[in-house]
Amino acid sequence: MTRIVRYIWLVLLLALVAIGVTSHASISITLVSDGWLEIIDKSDLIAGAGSDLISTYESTSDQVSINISGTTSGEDNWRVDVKRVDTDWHNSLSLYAQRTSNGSGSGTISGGSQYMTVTASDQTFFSGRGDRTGIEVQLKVSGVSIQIPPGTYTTTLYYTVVDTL
Amino acid sequence: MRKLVMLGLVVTVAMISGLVVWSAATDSGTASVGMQLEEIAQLVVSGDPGLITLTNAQTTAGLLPTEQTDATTSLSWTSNVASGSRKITAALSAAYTTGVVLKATLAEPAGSNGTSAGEQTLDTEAIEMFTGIANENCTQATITYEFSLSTMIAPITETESKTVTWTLLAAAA
Repeated sequence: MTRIVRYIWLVLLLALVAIGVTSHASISITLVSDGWLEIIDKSDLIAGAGSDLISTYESTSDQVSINISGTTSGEDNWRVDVKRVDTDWHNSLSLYAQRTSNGSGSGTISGGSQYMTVTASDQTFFSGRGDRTGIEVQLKVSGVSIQIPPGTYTTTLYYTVVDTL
Repeated sequence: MRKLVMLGLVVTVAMISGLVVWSAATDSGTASVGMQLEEIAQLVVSGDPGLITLTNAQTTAGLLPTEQTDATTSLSWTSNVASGSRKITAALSAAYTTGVVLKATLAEPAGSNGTSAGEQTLDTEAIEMFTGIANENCTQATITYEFSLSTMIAPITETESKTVTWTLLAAAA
């Protein structure tokens, strides 16, 4: 009898592990974006010769489209973190992101609808439940000025979906 | 006792496995952002100075007519190159009648890193008026034109109008 109980315990524990595997290992995030390259030239001077450059630039409202898939149900919770990894970024420039659409799907979505500063560390951007497609993101860069030498300044945004309890 | 230890071991392994599986439940996607700042060299003159006239009334017997000045115009510029690598030059479109001299001074405006060359005689060949321009945007740098004679000449009955071309360019040019 004791042996049977022990086997039942073992089977239950293995089942829990299996549930864990199927619940959390398959969530994925896909991005649809060609990247955002903003070209700044003399036409961006505030008032022609003698004036500084416009300091803030925004991408289109659908610059990035995010799909979340692989959740177990419309109740499966997740969050999306965002950070940037600089290639050649000027320290006067600040980068912001905001979510401009809810996308569609069986679950829900919340947060991230105001611009937040994207830093080198992961920060919670928005969260939701279930699979969702077409979550649109808009980007903004501020701090542009004539004091920044000519050149191309690049960074990469990392969007990470985390399956949460 | 042995059974309990075994059970505890199995539970521990199962929990660790679960945690490992849990921590792996992430996925990432990336998108690039680039800001491409082009070189900018923009300069504008506020307008034309007024007509400058040398008259008999401005002349003391025994001397050349007193030079006349105009400081009603200015330059503004925007530049975003490395420190000190641009300058401003000025050149006349054509020479005045021999004996007529036009000089100009470009003042150092607020916010500039550069240095004025002071009063310079203008000619058809470009002359440096301001050097050491860096990343800066400056407005209303006053231009002072001084009109004079180097020697007494016959009266000029028709107005002589020339164009002064101001250029913002690389310091090495």
